[in-house]
Amino acid sequence: MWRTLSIFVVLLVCAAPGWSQAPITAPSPRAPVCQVQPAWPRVPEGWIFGAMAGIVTDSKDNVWVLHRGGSVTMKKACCGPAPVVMQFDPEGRLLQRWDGPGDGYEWPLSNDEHGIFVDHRDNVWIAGRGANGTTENQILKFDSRGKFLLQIGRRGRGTGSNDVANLGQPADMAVYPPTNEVFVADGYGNRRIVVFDADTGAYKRHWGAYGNRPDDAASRTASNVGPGDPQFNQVHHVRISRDGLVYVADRLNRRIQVFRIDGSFVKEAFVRRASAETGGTVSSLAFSPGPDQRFLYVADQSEDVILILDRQTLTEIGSCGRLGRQAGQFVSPHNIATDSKGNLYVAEDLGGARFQKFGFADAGR
Amino acid sequence: MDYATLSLAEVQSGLEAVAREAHATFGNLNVRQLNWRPADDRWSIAQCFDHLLTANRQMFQAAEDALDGTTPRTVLQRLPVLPGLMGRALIRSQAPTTTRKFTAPPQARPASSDIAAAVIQAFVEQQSGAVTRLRALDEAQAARVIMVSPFIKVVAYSVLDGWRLIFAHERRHFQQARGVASSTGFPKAV
Repeated sequence: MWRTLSIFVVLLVCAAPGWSQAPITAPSPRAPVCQVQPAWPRVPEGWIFGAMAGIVTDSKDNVWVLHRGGSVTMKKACCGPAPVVMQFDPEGRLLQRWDGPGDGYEWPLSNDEHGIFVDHRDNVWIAGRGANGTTENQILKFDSRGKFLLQIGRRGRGTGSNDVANLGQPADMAVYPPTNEVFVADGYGNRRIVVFDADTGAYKRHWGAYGNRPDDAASRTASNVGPGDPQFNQVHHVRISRDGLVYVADRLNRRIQVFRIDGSFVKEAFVRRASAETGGTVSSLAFSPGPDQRFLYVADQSEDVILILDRQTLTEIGSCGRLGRQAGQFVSPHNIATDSKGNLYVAEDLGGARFQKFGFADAGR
Repeated sequence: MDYATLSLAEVQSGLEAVAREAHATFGNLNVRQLNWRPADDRWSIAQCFDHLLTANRQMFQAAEDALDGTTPRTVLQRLPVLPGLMGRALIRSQAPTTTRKFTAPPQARPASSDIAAAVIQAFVEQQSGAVTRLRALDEAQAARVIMVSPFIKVVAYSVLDGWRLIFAHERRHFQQARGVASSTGFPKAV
């Protein structure tokens, strides 16, 4: 009996935290479980969807979608391509739609629409990447009814990643309310985050990977082993957390880099870096609601899944969906967004050609 | 589809869809086909669209009158709840899924003689004008302003419900016209 008791005591002592060989870490939060809402949205009569380039929510939790109407190839009597910009209410009712091109601004070429963002004043920002070439070097700002307000950069102009007047195939953007600055993921042609005044469009600052000066001459071949690439390799998305951290989706380098508002580097994390799939893993980012924004959602366009990361540690703690064509599955999830209730919206590129809404049992509110 | 809950933007896309389908389905039919009737007591395709043209014209005018506010509001238009109830009931009664038959009001009865083949194009153009009107309309205002039915003067509903009614009614007669085209004895194109 004494022998059994001794063994028990030894085991107990060794299992105590101070004696453990494993590093001591705070427990990661439990990942929320997603559930698709298959009847959302109500698709208006006579519309057919093509590639869904971008998705974002506004201050009233309405959902804005940027659609590449030019990607619709099926021509039938029943249906025509859905408009380029659509706004739905949280129940999925269409509220308004715009057809992009107009006077006084350079709307992205057909099929080049890429990113959408709605700022704290409900202004709508549009980016076009230049899929048909390399000409789209601008972003546009409209009011919530589609009235043109501002263009930053010009089509066909731009001298690279250190140009302070033009962009280089921007993918997306986000506005940080406290400074009223727009942060542009200037990343299909250029390799940087560039910041402008959101009202005047005046240049403020820019930076590359690790906060360094971007270098367009550096290799663009992504390496998924060894130390991180000193340059960005397709800056595809940017979102800014409530605590003032800039999260950058460096897609082909399969990583997230985090910066302060001034561009100083904070940390990075690779996401499924060893994936056997081609292409990048970090396509789009969104935060869970709540004051601490506990979770960071990542659209992994290569593996067709939404990953759930602990925002503090940037470790993967769960996922939502998988490759497939049924409700709740994805083909090429390109862009994601969340609303104040914790719902997640996923826009799928041409493979899926749709957008879906997910609720969470516990979204960290 | 519940036509009674459609947003104005959804009505707009619906009207565009009806126009596109009308053009694609009936745009190439000849005068004989368009005016063929499956039975004496049933309408031809042309009559369906002639009826829509006439009814829509009066609905558009009634909606405009209510929105511009120059005519004094009737007691019905001031009632708080009744227009909402009337609107929903009317919209659901006109939805294509409702099987009950209604007699067209005298002001919107179609011509009984041969109707020109241009009726389809006229309908498509009317839809285009309707979409332009809708684009200029604010949904909150359309939900607030009450219009009087141009066909039954004791019936009132919101302008938003009026537009939903127009769309449901169009869908109903579009289906009816499609039924005519698939009836036994429908003339072949020559």
